[in-house]
Amino acid sequence: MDKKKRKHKGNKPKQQSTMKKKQQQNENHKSKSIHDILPLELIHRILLRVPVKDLGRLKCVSKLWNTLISDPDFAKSHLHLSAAPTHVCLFIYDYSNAFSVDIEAVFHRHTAVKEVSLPFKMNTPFDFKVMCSCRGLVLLHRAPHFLIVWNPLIGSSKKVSYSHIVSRSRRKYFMFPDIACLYGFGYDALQDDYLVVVASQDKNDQEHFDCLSLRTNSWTNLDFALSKPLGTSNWQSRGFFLNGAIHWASFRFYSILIFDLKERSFSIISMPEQVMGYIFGTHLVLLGGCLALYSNDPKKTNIWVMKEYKVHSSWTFYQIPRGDVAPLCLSNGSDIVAQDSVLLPIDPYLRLAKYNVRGELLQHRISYDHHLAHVKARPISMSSRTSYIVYTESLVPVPSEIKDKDKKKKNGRQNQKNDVKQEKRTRSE
Amino acid sequence: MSGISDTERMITLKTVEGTLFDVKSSIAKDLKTVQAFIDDSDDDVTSPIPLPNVFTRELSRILDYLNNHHRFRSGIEKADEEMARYDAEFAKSMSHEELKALILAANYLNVKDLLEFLNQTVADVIQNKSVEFVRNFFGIENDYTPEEEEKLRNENEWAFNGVEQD
Repeated sequence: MDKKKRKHKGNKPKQQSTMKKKQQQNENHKSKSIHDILPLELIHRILLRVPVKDLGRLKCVSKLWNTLISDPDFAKSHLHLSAAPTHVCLFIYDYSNAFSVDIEAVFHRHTAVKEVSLPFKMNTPFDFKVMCSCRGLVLLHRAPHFLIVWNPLIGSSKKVSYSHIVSRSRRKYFMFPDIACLYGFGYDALQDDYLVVVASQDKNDQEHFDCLSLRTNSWTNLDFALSKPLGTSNWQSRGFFLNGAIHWASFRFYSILIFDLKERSFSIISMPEQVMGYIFGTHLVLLGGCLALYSNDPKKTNIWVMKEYKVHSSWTFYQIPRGDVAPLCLSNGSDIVAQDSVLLPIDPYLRLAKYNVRGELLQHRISYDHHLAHVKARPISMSSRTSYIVYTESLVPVPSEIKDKDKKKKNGRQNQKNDVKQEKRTRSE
Repeated sequence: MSGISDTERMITLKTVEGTLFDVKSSIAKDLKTVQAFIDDSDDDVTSPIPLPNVFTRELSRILDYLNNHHRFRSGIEKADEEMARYDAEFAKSMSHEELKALILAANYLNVKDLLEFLNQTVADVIQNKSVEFVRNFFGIENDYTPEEEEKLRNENEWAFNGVEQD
């Protein structure tokens, strides 16, 4: 126990002297721990439990922490572990303006509604529409023929063209994603790749099925999966990703179409019998990680949630005694948060309400935020100029091919180093 | 293997300061490092097992936690509330230094459930706190230049709204 009395020499590395100082401090305070600093492995495990938003700030703690938090594998682990992900609804109105709403926080804080800047935006009012979301990434359509993948939280984005699908189709302007085609966005865990799938018809009314890999930025033709014609006009365009597959609801048959990303095959499951009679107004949505359907009556909204995936008997019915309500997501595991599309004369653009399982109204929030005041001038109805999607925040970066490039660079550098070494050796000989 | 049932056997653990703790073998099972030592030994372990990285204060807390949790789990149904209350008190009773020391001890002894609880506790502590606070807590030196840090903060501006001031 002579450490207290030993003096530091100036030559010792900084880290070590800090450790020793702390040791001294500890011993002075009769503290019992030798190691004040937690090993990286423990810090890693702690950070996996910190909410996404805080992790953004914590990148500034030190370079090591920045590397740790920015690692795509960390983002993936964090996503899997996340007990209570943050749900955000992204609204695009008038084709090029957007705002996001933190769905849980909006009932407590006015800062939960934020204007957002869409990526790859042009000065001309281009047609932006939200299509799908998957693991914190949002898929946008931008006219004339682009798909944009974007993580709104961290700002990572990229743009890919689908012009080959347009040129093959009957229309000059493809009107994607509204008419006569199906689309979906999902994650292939085996390949660690994000995929966009599109079913469309060509000039000869022939169906095609294409798949875009976001890792390679290349399209693959999956026509082989269309053993039976889908009848693209029978299904609602927007697909929802769940459990490794994309799901579409039917307009006509009481069924849900499923495309398994791993098996690359289609299958069908039925909707609950109660849906009969509502079929035109029945929409698919994801609630609490489950497939759900909802339909609107003038005075009530019916919701069916498939609590166990692909188990028909697990369809559970809920009803909200208010018409024209669109469920967005679950809060606290069982409360339903919904967008109320009914417009009042004073024209709020955002009207969110939270209902419990018995359909009782718990909270509601009408948003008149001043910094979005210019929006009030025009009524925003859920018209074709407006689109929205619910996504969960994550740190997942937009997939890129950087990994391969880095490998090549590294090998290149090493080869250079070896060459230099060899050169030196021969000289000395 | 002797005919005595596991729950009756006692294991003795010795901390850095030399304090001896008698622990039921059913509790010792949760100290995976200790259990591995016992499993590796050919004969029954009779002499105290030394724990060179664990201090009395930490072992005492860990055993307290494990004993209580065993009690909650084996008891009646209402134990969930009691357990939650106990956990909250347990977390509150420690200073940040003590919390860190306990994590290190729990990690060394490989006490899975307690470690997860403590990791969550720390995650809750640093949530919404400033970057400086977190550096102090973990004893980390800032290796960014002011310019680098400014740039990084701007890139991650979305994360800096609504943070508690120190």
